[in-house]
Amino acid sequence: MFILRNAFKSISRSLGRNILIGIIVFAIATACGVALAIRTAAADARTVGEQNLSVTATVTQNTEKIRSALVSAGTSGQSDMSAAREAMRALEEKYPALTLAQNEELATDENVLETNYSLNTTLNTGDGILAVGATESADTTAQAPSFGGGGPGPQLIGGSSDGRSFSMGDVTVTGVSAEDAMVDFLSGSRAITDGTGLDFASDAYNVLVSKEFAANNMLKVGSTFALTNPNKETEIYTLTVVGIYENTSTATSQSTLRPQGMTAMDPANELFLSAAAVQKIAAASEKNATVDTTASTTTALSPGLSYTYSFADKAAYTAFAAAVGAKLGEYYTIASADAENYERSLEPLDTLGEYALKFLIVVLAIGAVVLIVINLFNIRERKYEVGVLTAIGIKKTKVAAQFVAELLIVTLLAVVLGAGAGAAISVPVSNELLARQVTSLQTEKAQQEQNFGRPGSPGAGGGPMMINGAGGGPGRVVSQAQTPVEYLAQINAAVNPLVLLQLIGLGLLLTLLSSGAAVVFVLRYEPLKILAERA
Amino acid sequence: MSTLTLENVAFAYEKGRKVLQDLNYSFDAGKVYAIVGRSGAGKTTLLSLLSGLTSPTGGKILREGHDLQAEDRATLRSRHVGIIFQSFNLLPHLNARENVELSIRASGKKQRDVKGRALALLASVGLDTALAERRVLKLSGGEQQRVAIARALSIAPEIILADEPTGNLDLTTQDEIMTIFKRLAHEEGKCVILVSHSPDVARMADEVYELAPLRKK
Repeated sequence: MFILRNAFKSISRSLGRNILIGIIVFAIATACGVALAIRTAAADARTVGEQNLSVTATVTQNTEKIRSALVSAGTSGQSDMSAAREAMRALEEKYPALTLAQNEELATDENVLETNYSLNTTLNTGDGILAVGATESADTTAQAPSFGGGGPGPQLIGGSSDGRSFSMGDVTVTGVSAEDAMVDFLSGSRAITDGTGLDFASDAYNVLVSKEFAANNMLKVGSTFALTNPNKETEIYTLTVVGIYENTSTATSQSTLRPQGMTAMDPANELFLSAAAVQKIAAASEKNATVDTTASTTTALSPGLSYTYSFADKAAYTAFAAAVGAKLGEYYTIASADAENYERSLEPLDTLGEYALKFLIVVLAIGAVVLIVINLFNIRERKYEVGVLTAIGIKKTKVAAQFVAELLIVTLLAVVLGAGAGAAISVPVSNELLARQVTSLQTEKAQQEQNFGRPGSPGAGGGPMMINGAGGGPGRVVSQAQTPVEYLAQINAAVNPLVLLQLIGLGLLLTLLSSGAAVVFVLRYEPLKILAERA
Repeated sequence: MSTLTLENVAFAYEKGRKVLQDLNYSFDAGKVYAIVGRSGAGKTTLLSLLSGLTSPTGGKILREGHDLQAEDRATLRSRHVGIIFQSFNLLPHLNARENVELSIRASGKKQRDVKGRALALLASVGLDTALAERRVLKLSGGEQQRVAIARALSIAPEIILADEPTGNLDLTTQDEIMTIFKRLAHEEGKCVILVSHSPDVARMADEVYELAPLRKK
């Protein structure tokens, strides 16, 4: 009580100096409040985001690993391309793409919420049917490039590991197991405008065709048309139109980058069946296949599988990824565009969080130095007072405690005011800083796109199209624009109780640190000497 | 048993210069003692030794038979020894009353009405309430001296040490101050030790000790 009474009296006596200390601590507390609020908000945003993020993922061969295995084996750089290709094929045979059964076994993992899959293959159009973009005289099969052959070095694009033929058909046939597998329909870039959806449980050859494809061939709901195996024209499948869909997004419109003659890559030529129907087509094709044992080729269709796992949150995805990694080894990988996109979306926030931490350290360091200097001046100025107090019998520790209490009172008051100011400005300041980070990152990405000759839009962070290897299957070609990243550009960086506690903690730390030097001085002062000097 | 006893007390500065040597004095309660001597004789040093502000380099100082060295110095000064410094050593940012109150609170002795006691003490040395509320720098030398005496008395000490208590005072005020000291000794039983080079002070004291400067070696 004695210490506090004296401390308050002393503060009121030296109001000017204490207001100066208060202003300095207020500025430090405000800056620290904003920095801490940003860091806390960033951590909260990540935690909440990860909890609410629905993650989908696929398990594929780890092409990077396979490539590096080839490089380390010395086959990649061989001048003999066929030997390199053989080595690649051997590795692919050793680590083949996962089958439907293998995926379904992995899907029994408790972390998996649900699954869906699609099967892709290409077929030729039958008599009287033309793919969008094809002409009647064109022999697309003949013009179509043969994937997987002749290219330099190992590549998985359309590559076959089982000696199947590679002739690319006129249209892409996609068998889907559930509505969730119809990503474009879920996203709204495609929509059924006539007829009904698919019965996923049925293996009937019911098909959804695009509006352009239907118009091209005067098809209506209920019409039937024939498709053939591009490897064996006598293998005919008759399909019934149950629905017509429209491409509503430019993302799925005909790409100008599509190679000439590859009509199957035109989104308008993508036909949707149930996965069961495509499996039935594959089974029939296998049964009627012509096998050339000498050349190790077969005419059987082998649809590429895209199996998607869904998870309730990122934690479940991470646990599943670890389990898959342990089970399948390093030649397989689990990839999630959602998780990757989410991570990328947090890049500005992470950067801002790092800046906030550095800023916090600098502010605290400068603040500590300034306060130490002020305290040292203060204690020297009050040397006589220390001498008198100790001469009349007040213990040095009590005098030192009074000095600490004075600073503590001023500091805590300033910290509370600073926290209030920090609370008021943390949200607009942090969002402004975040917006600058996002802009900076978008500009950087756009510049990178331009450097690669791609007209990438800011924020898209990727090229317009990628050709994705299916790892087996006759020319499974999927056009896939790289998913644009939506950066997290708003955070609620409020000064919450946790931040307030951290601020008070920092305030105490600063006070003790800066008054520590003063305490040392007080304890070393000899009253007799001080008073003698004064006298 | 004497209130204070000096047994062969000696003091030398760190550089080796001896100031006091073989002092054997005793001070009893109820008396006013005057320690006189020329400048440099070590009068103020002796007062510092008696108040525990510094320690003897030789011999012993006993308070009520106990070695002063073994006592907690801060407690000694805050409870048992009241000091009146030559230059008063009052806190300039406080008024007269607050200076006395500070000392009362620092003693740790329980006091119900600290302010009332401080005012009473100031009144006992001739300072009214109006003067008591003045900043000490606005008081005259004599008034400051009275505040210093009131502060020394505020802890109800058994021993009062005063360094040149009448140094810069006019004769009338000197007499008034000396009267206070004599009252404290004779009526309240305090042991009052005054350090002065004034023959008047020596004349008014009950006992006088004279310090002679030691020869420089």
